[in-house]
Amino acid sequence: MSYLEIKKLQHSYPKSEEPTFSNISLTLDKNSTLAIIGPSGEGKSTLLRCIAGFENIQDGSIQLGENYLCKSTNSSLSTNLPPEQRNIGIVPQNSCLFPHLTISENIAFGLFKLNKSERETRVNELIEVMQLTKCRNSYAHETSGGQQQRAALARALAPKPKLLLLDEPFANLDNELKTHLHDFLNTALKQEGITTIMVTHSQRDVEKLAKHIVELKDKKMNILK
Amino acid sequence: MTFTKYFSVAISLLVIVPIFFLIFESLLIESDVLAHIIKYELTANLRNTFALTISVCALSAVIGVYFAWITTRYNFYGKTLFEKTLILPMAIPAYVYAFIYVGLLDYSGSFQSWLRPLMSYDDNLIHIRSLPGLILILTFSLYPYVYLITKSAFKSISQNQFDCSRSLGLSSRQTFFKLCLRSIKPWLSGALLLVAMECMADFGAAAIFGIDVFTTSIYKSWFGFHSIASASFLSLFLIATALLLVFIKSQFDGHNLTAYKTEVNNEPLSCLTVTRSKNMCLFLLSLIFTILTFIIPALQLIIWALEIDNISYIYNFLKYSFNTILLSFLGALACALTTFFLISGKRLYFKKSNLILKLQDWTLPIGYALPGAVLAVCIFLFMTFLKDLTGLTLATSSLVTLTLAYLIRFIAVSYNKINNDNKRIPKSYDEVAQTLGLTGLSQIYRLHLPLLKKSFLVGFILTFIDICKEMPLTLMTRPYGWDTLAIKIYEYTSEGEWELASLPAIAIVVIGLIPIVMLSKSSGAHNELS
Amino acid sequence: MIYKLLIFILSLTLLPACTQKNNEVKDDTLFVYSARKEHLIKPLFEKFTSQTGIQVKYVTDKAGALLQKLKAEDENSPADILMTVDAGNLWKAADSQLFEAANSRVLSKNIPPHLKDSNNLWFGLSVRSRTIIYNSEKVDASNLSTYKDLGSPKWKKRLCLRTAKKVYNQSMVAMFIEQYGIAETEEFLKSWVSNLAAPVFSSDTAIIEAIDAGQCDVGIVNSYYLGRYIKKNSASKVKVFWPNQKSSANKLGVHVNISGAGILKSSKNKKKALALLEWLSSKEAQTQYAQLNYEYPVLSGVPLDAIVSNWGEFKQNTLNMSLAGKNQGQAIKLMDRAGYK
Repeated sequence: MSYLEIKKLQHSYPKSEEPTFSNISLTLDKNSTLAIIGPSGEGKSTLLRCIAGFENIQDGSIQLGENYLCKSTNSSLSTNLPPEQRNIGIVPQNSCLFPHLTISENIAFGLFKLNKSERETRVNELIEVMQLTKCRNSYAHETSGGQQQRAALARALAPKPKLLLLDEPFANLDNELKTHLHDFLNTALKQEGITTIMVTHSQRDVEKLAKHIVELKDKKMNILK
Repeated sequence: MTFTKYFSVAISLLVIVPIFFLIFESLLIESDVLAHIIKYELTANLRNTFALTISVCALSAVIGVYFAWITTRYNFYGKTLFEKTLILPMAIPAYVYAFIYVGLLDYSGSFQSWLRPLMSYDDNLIHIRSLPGLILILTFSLYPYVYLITKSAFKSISQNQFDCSRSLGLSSRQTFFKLCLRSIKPWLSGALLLVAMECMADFGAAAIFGIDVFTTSIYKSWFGFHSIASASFLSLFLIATALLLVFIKSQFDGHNLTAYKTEVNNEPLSCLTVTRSKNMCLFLLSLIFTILTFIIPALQLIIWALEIDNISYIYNFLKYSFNTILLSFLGALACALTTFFLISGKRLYFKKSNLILKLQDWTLPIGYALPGAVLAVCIFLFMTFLKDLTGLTLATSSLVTLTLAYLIRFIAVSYNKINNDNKRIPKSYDEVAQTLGLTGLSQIYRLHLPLLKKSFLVGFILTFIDICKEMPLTLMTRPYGWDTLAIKIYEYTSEGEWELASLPAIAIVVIGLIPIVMLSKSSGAHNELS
Repeated sequence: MIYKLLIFILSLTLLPACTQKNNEVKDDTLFVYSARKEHLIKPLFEKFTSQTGIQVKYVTDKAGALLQKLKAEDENSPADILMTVDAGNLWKAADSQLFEAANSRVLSKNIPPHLKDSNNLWFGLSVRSRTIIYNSEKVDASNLSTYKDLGSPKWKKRLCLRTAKKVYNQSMVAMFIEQYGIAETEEFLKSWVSNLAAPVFSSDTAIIEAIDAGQCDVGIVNSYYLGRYIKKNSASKVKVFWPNQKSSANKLGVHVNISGAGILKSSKNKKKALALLEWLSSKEAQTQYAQLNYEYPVLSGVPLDAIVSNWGEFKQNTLNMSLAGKNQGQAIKLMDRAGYK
């Protein structure tokens, strides 16, 4: 049985007549990486937000593991887990580190359920993997773009989510940084053993990273790999 | 560079100089007077002031942050209107609230007089002239500062940050407390500092309520015992407390505020629609609050004004209104200009934190903590000193004295505002400008001014409103023919003539409303420095 | 460019300020520092100007602040006259060497000796009696007698007083100290406090309103506040009672206070200042005092306002008003000890 199962998903914004996308279905195995590519404005980010729980679906269902994250028939939601209960990590396009906290505090943000020493261990673990040791006590604006991206990734990974969503992780990065991030993602995802979906508009960026690639175009999904 | 340095030091000294006179004068203290005051009233007054300040700060924080949050985050019926009406109380001085609500709710006031025959009871139902009453009234008057400042601060939180927090396992409510509130700490603490200082310096409202606060002791030593020395000594306490508060506030400042500049693509928090019942709730809450803080006072003032039968009063008010506007304008201009030059100088010439800058940051709030009357006395003492030293006599009452006094007293208001916004403009802007050939004055004119224009305006408006409401300082240093509306209110209320006081009160509120409406328009369109 | 603009604006605003720098007034203008409020002095001054051609400028403020100002300005003060609404403040001004003696036959003739300084440093210009008022529907006037009696148990929870911070009460207690001595005064003040029906009020008018509304039955106010109140509320139940009419020696008579003035040493216009003072003690001005504000003139034979004359005649206490100032410090301490806020 696949880990993530999306069936006939439809979404539309409250004020628009046409749906953002409809009849989207896909499945994903555990520990694998999926890339969703497609031109901008087609609804890729919206799809991620639906999975994360920030948008309500109009039709279809999303199932993660054994639980339904949300289920809807003809615009009436029968199940809708709030985002904080879905255990899904997100890394938005602009890293979005909390400006009033240091890098290590950012990473520790989602670990409030652990006790102090467990928290410290986990944070140190991630800082090492992401090579953030030098800037662990700096604030976001004091670090470089690449460091911020890695920190955001570490923050999302810290609570060991079931699913990780990355929105345009390679945007705003030069080639060298892209390669850098590639490697990090590879290591991190393998080490953490985490199911990942990333959204990007460039296929080239994810050829080597993703096991599966789908394209979201004209409100439909085409499997490319 | 030297001019800027001297200017900076000069302004800081200007604010500190009164303290030297207080210290100097305190040395002449008559021990019996001070002993008497300490024994019979100081503890009680301190307790009252402490309780008052803490309660007002807490209440204003809760109310201000609550309304700032719901108007930022939720769409509810009437929201766009309430966003603006919630600021309106800023136009009403605390002492006006005081005489309105005492006049309305006390035993012999209109409300209880109407209620008594209906309920056939004789006791006082509403003990308005009490500490809780005063706390409530000061909260009405001061929460708008918290509301305005935190509302602007919430704009620095992006929807993405909010979502990240939720994806990390925190519910919306937890996110509000752990993320939103924590990240606006510097702004919130700045606003509460202002509120605390206003509470400590308040005298008019407390007098009408009959609550003895710390400033009561100061006035008593001065007017009652004619002991300037004791009054000076007690004032030093006030200043020490103010410095303590500034210190506490600085602990909340955290690190460099440059962090808070909104990243280009991050959208601010989105406005959510709410369920019908919640919508009704928010609407009712906002409505009730607006009624309490604005509609009722305004109505009462109008009713009283209509009872005045002497038309000649009305003509005089044009003159007093003109005086009020002009003096407030002068004072606010002086403050804003001085702040602007201080900040510009800071950006241009002070690379890192400097002793002079530290001095500036610590001394400027002091003027705000000094009660107006005490400041005026310091000015008089200074003039005596100057006369003794040099034989030069300056007028104790002149526009120059008055403007300087306003500068010392209120510079903290605009400095606070413009400084905070200034910190959010990264140094890189200046560096880029330098490489493009802009230095010194041209940098100020072409870079700082456009960037800080909005803050400049907001700081100017806030100071203008504050000076409009100011009374004791103006009373003591105004030249002949420059009576203001605040002074007239004092003259009538001290004689118990509420109806006559209503007309100047209405005028002050109207004059204050104009800049407030400008303020709300500017904060609506205001998209922080991007 | 912007600097030039700023300098221009600044100089515009400073220009009028500089010309006012020494507050120089023309020779035929008098400058009065007044603790009496504007709407009460303006009509008088205007009348004076219309009759004599001498302009009168004035600045109003609390007496303590005016004293401080005068001390700071010293001989360069632009002020010619200091006017206050309480004898204690006049005494303090004299004690601070601010006044110059004015030996004037007119003033000596018009003003009774207990209402002016014995060295002619200051002069009372109107009398305000601080007397007992009561709810005529709930109180029988025969139950009232003296100020001290307000402390007796029959007035438990029926008394309303103004705050001890107001100078009128301080002067009254200062006179009590002279009449009864410190210990006895402290005693009966304590008993007053225990009879209070409500926390002390911030104004006399509020006391009258409270009595009318029924919150308390007796109180002590300056009579002119009652005059103003009755003018607006003719159906009011509040009436005046003159206490201490049967007392003996220096306790005899209603406690009175004065609003008054003195010529300042720093005045450059002493002759004209004296003219103003003399005019203020004349029949014309004294009538205005009476009609404008329901006060009692110092000059005898001046018609009172109708409401005031309805209250009837009374014996006033004739201790010299300077005692109000001499004993003020003691009075305040005493009130603190008695718990009178």
